[in-house]
Amino acid sequence: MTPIEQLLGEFLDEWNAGARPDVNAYLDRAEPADRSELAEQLATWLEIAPTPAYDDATLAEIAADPRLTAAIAKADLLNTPLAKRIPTLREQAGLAVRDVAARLTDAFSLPDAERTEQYVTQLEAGELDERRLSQRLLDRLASILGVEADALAPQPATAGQAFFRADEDADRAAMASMQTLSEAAFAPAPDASLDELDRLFCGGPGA
Amino acid sequence: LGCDADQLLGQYVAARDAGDTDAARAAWYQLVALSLPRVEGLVRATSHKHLSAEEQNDAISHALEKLLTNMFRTFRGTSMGEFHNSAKRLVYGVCVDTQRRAKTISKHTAPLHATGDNGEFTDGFTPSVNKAAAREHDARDADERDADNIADLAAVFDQALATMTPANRSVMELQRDGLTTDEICEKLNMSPEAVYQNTSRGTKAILKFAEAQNA
Repeated sequence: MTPIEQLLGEFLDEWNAGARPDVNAYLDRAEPADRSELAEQLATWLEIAPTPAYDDATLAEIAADPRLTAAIAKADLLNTPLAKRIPTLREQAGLAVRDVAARLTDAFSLPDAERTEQYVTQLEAGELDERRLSQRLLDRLASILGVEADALAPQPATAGQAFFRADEDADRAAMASMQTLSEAAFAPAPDASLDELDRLFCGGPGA
Repeated sequence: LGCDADQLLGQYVAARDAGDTDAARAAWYQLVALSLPRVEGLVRATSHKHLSAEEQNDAISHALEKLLTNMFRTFRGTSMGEFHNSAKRLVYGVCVDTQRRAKTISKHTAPLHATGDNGEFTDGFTPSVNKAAAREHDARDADERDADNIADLAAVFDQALATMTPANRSVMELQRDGLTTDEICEKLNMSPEAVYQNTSRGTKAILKFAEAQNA
């Protein structure tokens, strides 16, 4: 029996026993020349492995894992409207509304920092329509707040809703889409006198 | 935290199809939590030559975030095989992204992937990792994942069994069912050494089969 076979077998035993074997520890035990092959076999196993029946202590350990709790906190934040998300992210970044406004003013070469601050305040108060915010604005805001652009994406849709499911009440879904398009078609055109700042926060041509 | 992944997936699918987002999310979060050891293992096994331990932890965190958000939004499957395959592709994509972000290519032996003249993923790690990472990358902007054409190891497992020797096949079937080595020894009247050998050979056969499918 080769050392790789021995290590793979031990790993599988630990995995199936619900003991959360550490891949790095196993790779460290292998000879350097064997590590790639062992890693490949471990990855193959992990793709097909059954989910073990973890005991209560292991389940509690998994639930308390800081990487998981942090990821859940972020995911929960993404499920809130931007009006709640932006102040939270802003506070996490240690910035005041005025700071954010000043950086936006600078980034877009806007003429009036005070008006920018009013818009940011309105945005955080939920007084603006999130759907009309310019993508350029959201990208820049994400950069200012030190988060990935995804963090300011619109609220996630319902589970699995990103795809059209023709077998599930397709007529109703199509009618709803038609209604939305119809409303958009008959909506008044944006005021041509909007300036750059208005376009960033309220949409319009070239937003 | 629930401990039965199949049951949690069933709860998720039922809630999703009923339009009950809160219930779907509750089941999904638990399903992702149960996947943490697998995600952790996949990241470490896939990136052991390419990412530092700290970078691997970053990749695990990012993968968990994306599993909780992006995959929740886009997953249409109904089986654990589909769940694992989607998760695997996401994990491999995150590993590549993490390496790019960390800009540590020069400190490590090789990049996880490299691109050719047309931007295609050409070499680096195993073909399945590169293909999965490339597809994850391509799908990201469109925020959608269509029917998967990457060889899904869980899906090809049964086909791969047909290519194995009887001993390899018997051991791998029992390993997949979660039996311990002692239990397999007893069932098949084999020594532990023989179980280990057959497991390793069976794993290689699955990988070889999947790579032939990918090619």
